[in-house]
Amino acid sequence: MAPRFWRQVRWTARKDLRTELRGGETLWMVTPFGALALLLAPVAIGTGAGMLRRIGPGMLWLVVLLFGMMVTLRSTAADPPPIRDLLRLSGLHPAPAFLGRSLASGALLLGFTLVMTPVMIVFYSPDRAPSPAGWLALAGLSALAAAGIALLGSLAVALTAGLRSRTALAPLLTAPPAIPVLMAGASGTNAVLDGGGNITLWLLLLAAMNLALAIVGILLAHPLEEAAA
Amino acid sequence: MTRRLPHRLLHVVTGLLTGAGLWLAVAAPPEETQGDLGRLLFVHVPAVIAAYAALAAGAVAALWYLIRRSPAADLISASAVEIGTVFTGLTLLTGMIWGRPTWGVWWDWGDARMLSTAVLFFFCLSYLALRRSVADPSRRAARSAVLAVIACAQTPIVHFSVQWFRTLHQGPTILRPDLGTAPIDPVYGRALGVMMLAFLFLFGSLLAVRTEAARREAAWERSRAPVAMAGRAVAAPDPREWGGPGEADG
Repeated sequence: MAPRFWRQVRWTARKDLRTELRGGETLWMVTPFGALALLLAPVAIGTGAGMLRRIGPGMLWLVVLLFGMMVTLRSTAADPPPIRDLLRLSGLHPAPAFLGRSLASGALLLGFTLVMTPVMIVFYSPDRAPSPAGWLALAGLSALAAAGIALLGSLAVALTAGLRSRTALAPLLTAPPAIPVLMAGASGTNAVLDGGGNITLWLLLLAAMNLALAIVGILLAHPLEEAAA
Repeated sequence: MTRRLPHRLLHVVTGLLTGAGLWLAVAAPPEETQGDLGRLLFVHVPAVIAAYAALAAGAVAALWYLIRRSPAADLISASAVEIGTVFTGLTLLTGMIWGRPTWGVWWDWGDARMLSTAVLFFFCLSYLALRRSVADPSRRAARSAVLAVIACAQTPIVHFSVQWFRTLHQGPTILRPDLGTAPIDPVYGRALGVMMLAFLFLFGSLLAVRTEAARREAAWERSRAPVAMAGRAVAAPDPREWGGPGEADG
């Protein structure tokens, strides 16, 4: 692809991250809320050490998925109509804009996941802290899973741009196809925490899913941009 | 009248095939291990085949809309996905009813086929929700078309899930690479084949009816649009009402 394409991807991602940095929606609202959800779950389900150890990875990825939607659907993720018009007139193409937006959301989600993982280990499985290699595997798993949720979220944002029911509809669109992310994340984390588990298959599944989503997003970015105009 | 004749013919063929399929399904002897419960497969398997066909038709029409911006293609796509949702729901329902006595469970969370079908069903429901959320027809059509294509892209995942993951649901019996050697008794195979054809024709019949209904809905929406938007008092006056040159007058 032309270097102009990747420059536009970088530019969009930088713009979104800078806007988020100024607003701080992910850092100051979603992250503490996510940590609180991880803290509240044992209060509702039960505090037995064995059960907490068993449900910990699943809870972590459920929180990442549900709160990750809040990150991808944050108010700064969708540009208001005047800014969309301005970006279009300045020559920003829909496909790099889609990828750039996904990249920014993915980076925010990765940060969110990397904060939530130690919180989960402390609250649920303090005796199962991973080795340095395990942390590296968890980081790789988190990066791919974050990219998956971000790509799905960006598609949902594009599909629901400008709709009054956006906040209810976008999670409905994102959640069903995000189930592989939930499965890969929970099973992969469990394998890493158990020590010695192989997560290559889960990483490959996530990579394949992300590739498919990126292709779909790039191909369909233009009609979606037109529909939102 | 010219449009209605093929539709009526389609309905008649659907009725005949469904009747023949049901007769063959009832006349077939009870399945060796499952007994009469095995007859449920004469609905379950054709329903999933019809769901695949409906979602594929929805995606083709959606692509046609994205390329040519044809409102008719949008109506066909929406109708096909709607019918596909019903068939997917029927597949889940009949599968659960069959699974309870056969496997001992209504639902198995670890089963790849059940989970992927449920995901597809909820995705179809979100398609219908999106369609209801957008008032403007052209915006609704473009967004729905994108979602219809993504929904159809999930059908290979549903179909091949039983080959990729070894879970509770058995492998494919009908749509498999070695089609000629499908392990099914000829009596059952004949009944299943006729029922599959009947369900495909049923999909065609429903598509014709639903698309016609959608076309009328769209025409009605168009006719009401100026009144609904601003009320008759501020709508542009129709020249024919005050005797001026009408549309027909040029």
